[in-house]
Amino acid sequence: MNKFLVSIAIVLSMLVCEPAFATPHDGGDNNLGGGNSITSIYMDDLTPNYPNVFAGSASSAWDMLVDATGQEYVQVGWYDAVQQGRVVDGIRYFSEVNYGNGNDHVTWSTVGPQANSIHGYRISVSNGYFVNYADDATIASWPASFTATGYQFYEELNGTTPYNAQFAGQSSAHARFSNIRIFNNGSTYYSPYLTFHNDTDGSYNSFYYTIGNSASTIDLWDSRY
Amino acid sequence: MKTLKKKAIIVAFFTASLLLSSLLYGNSLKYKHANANTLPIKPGQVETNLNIDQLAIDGITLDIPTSNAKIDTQTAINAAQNAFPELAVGATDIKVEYHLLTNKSYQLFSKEALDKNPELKAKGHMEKLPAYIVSFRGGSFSMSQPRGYNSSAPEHHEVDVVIDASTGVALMAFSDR
Repeated sequence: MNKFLVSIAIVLSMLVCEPAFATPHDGGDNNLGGGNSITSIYMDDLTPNYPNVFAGSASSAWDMLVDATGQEYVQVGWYDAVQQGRVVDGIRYFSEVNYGNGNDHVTWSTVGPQANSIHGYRISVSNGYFVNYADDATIASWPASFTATGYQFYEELNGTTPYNAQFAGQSSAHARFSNIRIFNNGSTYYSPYLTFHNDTDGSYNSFYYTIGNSASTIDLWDSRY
Repeated sequence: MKTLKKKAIIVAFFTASLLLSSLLYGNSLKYKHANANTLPIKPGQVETNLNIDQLAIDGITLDIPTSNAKIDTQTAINAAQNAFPELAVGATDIKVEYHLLTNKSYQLFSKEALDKNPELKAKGHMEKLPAYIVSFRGGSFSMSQPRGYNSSAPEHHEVDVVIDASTGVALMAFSDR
């Protein structure tokens, strides 16, 4: 009986400990943990064609700083909720900060990054604020009330039916992250260590990603297209 | 007993009538509600339904206008809906406010916004800019989250769109609740 209960407890603990992710991601991340303080993050993004996005879904690409728990974060990138056929087809620059307990702030621009050209996304801690830049213009500035120890570079799908959206990039024309770097504890780290993840339909190629090499790239695409 | 039965029938009749009216005239009621919630726009008067503390986190401050807006509130609502249709969808209530708005942390204006407002173009940010804030409330959407996030998805029920009150051009949108 005791062995049976122990077995059940082991199975249940495995289920509880398995990290749950609510939205699909394609890219990489790492969290350095306590004792670290990342005060800047940067990446270039090239999307040849912005993704197909249908009602109830959204597609995005961004870089992000997170705290040691992974539950407070700040990010900047592009976001597409529903294609509208406007100037940049519904793509917008966006930035978001989440302090936990439902205290989440978002800013969207009326303009967005043109397809098939490189756009830079940067977050820098300055005078106690997370200052978020898209193509060297500020989009938002929020109090830096948490210490960033983790970093993420992802494409993401969300909405009530996230898979109505496409990850950016297609088999014949990949999206690409490049010039990836962070500034941690006073030093710059080009192409820092990443654990890569591709949820369903997300694909990536990290063959040309070498830690420490500023020329590293990550290719990303949606395997359905 | 018969009297109670009669009263019950009368109450049921009026309840059904009200329900039928709301179904038949629901749209017009909604339209009237939107207009009824438009704040009076007068020089020197500011009221806000927004959360000042949350605006402070966003780096946004509001001041009392010193003159009338150059465009009307319906033009502002139309501009906001046209600029951000995917964020306005699902809204059950629209509120409009007129302020002098300052936000020095936002620079991503459209060419149209800058070409039509030389002062905005010169400063590169909003500083006591006469602006409408058009709030779309009642919808629901969740935003982005990191991989490994295991808290409740960040849900939003209001989107606030900033419209240049001199030109009618949409400038940005934000949400903090």
